[in-house]
Amino acid sequence: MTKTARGSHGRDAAGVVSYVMNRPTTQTDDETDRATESDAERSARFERDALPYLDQLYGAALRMTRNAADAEDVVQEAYAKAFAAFHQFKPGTNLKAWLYRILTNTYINSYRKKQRQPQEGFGEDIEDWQLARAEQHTSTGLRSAEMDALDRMPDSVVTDAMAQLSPDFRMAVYLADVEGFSYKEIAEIMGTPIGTVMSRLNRARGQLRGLLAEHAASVGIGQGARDE
Amino acid sequence: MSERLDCGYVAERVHRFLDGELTETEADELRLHIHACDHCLDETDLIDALKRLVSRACACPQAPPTLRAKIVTEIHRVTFTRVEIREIG
Repeated sequence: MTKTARGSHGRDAAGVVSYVMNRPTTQTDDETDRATESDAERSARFERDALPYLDQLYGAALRMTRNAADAEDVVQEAYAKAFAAFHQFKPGTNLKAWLYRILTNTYINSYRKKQRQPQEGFGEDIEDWQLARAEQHTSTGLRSAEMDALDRMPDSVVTDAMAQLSPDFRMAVYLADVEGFSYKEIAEIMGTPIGTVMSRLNRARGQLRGLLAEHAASVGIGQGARDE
Repeated sequence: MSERLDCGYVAERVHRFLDGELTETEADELRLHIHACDHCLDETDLIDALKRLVSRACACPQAPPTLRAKIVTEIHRVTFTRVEIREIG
């Protein structure tokens, strides 16, 4: 270890110097070499392995934050965190799920706390009045007779309905139906037991169904218009 | 498991069924019932349609090129900072 302190940079600079200088200049991406790979090599590996998920993570962030500017911020912060922690990621394990987990944590810890609307908080009980209303529609809501209506439902109506779900419900549906993650992966990403994933999915889909039924009713398809 | 499951049993498992979270044996059990029960068939079709609808409506948008550029810059900026320190003295 080189111990030489350099000018006003002092020990910290020296630490960095020895860290950099002791690294061999050629490395493979082999798991065993991760501890000794150079910064440049890690950057290249990160760009090659993690950046291809950018569009997907952006899509998820867009669904979480519901606007493009915030989605960009959350994704950028998540990538910065992922890069900083990339030496801890074990190659061969699920990189996509790992990135989603960081994205979800970033959204919860950084973004959601900054939000001004307290009712848009964490829990499932947030919009209970609304959810209760939506769930009521399930029993009388969309039926097979309205399958056609579902197929003709504009995307914007679906994304609007998604936006009305609580963040945790929305995320569970997104991860399952858009990203195709297994319950086990969703549980890891969201940091919850699998049972919670199941109940979130069941309830979220029930609510979506209710909201879509409401829309169908409002444009005159199906069971007739409902009061607000 | 009895040959005739009740609709409640199916309703409890239909999401797991459509999400591919049941074992093949469990899934076959459910299929037997679903194909013989109009109510459960309707329910299953609807939830399946809902899944497809969400998947279609939320299909992956492209991240803005500026975001990609920012991230790439950030990844490599860290490297340059450290290289600079090495160059001193």
